[in-house]
Amino acid sequence: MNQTHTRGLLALAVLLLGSGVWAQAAGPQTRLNYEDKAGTNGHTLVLEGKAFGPYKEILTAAYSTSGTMVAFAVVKRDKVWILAQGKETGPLPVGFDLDRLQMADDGKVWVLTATRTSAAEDDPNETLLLVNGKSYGPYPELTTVEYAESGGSWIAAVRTAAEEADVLVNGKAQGPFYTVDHAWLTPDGKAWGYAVSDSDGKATVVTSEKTWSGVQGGNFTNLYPREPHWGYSLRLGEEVERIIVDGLAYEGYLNFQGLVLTPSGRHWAFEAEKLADSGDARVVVIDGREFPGESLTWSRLGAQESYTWTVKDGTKVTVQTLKLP
Amino acid sequence: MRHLPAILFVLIVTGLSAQSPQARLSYEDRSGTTGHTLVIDGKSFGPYKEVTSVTHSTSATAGLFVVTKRDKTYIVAQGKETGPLAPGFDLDQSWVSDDGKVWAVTAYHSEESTDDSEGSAQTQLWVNGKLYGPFKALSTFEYAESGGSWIALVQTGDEEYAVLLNGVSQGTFASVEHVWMFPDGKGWGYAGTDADKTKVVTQDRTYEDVQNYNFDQMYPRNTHWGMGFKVGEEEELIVIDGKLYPGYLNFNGLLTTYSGRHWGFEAEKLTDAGDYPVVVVDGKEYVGEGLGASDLGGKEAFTWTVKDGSKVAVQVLALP
Repeated sequence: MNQTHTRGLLALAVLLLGSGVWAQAAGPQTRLNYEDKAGTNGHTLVLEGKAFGPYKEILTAAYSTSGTMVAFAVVKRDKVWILAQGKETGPLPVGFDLDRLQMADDGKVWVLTATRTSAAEDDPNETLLLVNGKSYGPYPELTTVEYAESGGSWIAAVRTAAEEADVLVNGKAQGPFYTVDHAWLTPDGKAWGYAVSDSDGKATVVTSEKTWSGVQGGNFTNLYPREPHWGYSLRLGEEVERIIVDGLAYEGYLNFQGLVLTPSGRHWAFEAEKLADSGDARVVVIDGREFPGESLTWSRLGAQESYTWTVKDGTKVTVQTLKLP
Repeated sequence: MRHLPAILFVLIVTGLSAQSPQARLSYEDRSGTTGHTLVIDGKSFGPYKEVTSVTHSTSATAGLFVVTKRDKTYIVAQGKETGPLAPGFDLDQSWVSDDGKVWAVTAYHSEESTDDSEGSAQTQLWVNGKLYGPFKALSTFEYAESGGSWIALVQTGDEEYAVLLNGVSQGTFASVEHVWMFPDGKGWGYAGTDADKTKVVTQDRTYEDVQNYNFDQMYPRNTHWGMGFKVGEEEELIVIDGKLYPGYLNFNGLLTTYSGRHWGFEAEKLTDAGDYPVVVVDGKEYVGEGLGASDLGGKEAFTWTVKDGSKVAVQVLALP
């Protein structure tokens, strides 16, 4: 260990400690400013020097995930309007109630869903989708709408009739399909996909990279790219399965059981069968590392998280625990 | 300076060793013509027709086995066999503490009504081989990982609830707002209401006539926990992770980030010059209201708004 190495290690230690201290010391930052001027004729909203209104009421101010953008739902002449991207859109059709209003961090997408409910049997509920001021539907059901925080992309899964469903990719309808099993979009907008089935149960998975036809099965229960970790599997043949976790492919496994995240979301794991010429074996894969075993569970006590699984060797059963950093 | 490389080496090695799995609980399940024989710590149990399930403790240091013998369900735990469960009762939940001093199972029985009236349901609670109930329902069971303490909230009548602390009833209430127990067994508590008066009882003392209570995040097994309540004309009591935060009113509940690493709450700051809304994040106070947590790709932040007359500013605190 010469002096140069020692200096290098010291610099590294200072850098590591310093970055932590700086992050801890960083104060709150103002991301967005606006004015809500209340007067005798209602509320006037002032955004970036431009005045909108007056409005009878500001129903909601929906901030983007990082607090950089805002969309407002407002009331004018007893009707609901949306104020976003420097424009007023509306009004919502009579009878439709606002469900949710969301805005992307770069302001390139705003999404609103509104539902009209009815107690009458011959008048089913309907959901309307508005994206960037353009109206889609109303649909008997809207199951998913996801948007990118940057770039302007969005995807939605909608039911258009009793046995008919569409996927809207940036507003363009893909379909019709018998069912849409899942639709996803990464928050950076760089990847998207959807899984659909026809009336015979034949599944197709379309991603931004490739279309997988004749999919025999799959697991999409953890395919939510806004979560800290996400994953899915596609069964493409009797002994061929494609497992993707955080965008990386894990090959040589069968029967992916879904991703198991710890409560903090910092760690991920799955269990599956490892394919080997000498015989398949149960394994667990934790943060990318493989261990023999099965029956994977997580546990937490205070801040300490662990994964636990069992290893069977003939009649002997051992419970293994991996404490996580 | 000479020690720095050694310290870094130790840190790296500690991190690596934390990544290796450890064997905790071992047993044998010997299958033969007469059924399954369990061998736990050198002692044999059975034979059983079936080993239905195995529950291990949080750190996998202790185990509880649900087994079937002559078509009846038994529990094997603490080196003993307990049971059978009463006919018609199905095993529901099971727990065992890390030191093995508490094991518990619940068994559920439901009966559909023959007329238009509501059916009936019953829950039995077994703790360390002793049977409690049946109750109309059991909504909470909490136990210490060491020391043998436990607490349970049960429904004893249509509008009657009871708290069992280590098996002893603490009285009946028209409603019980919350019960809790610390995993180390050093603290416990409950909030119960009777005749429109709420009282909070903890291991240290009893608070009568409690108002403005919030126990939504009073789960001491989580990374952060907190509660708030007001007693009579006294100042509001806000406790987060065991620390008292005085000088606030209208605690809105504890908000934790997705990872559970950071916490915040909003309340009104009491001052002689007038009260005003504040948010307290990881113990640090900021002026503002409308606290929200966000998470994008593992980057966590708290967001709130600051109002100054008609002006609104959205503040974001990025968290390390």
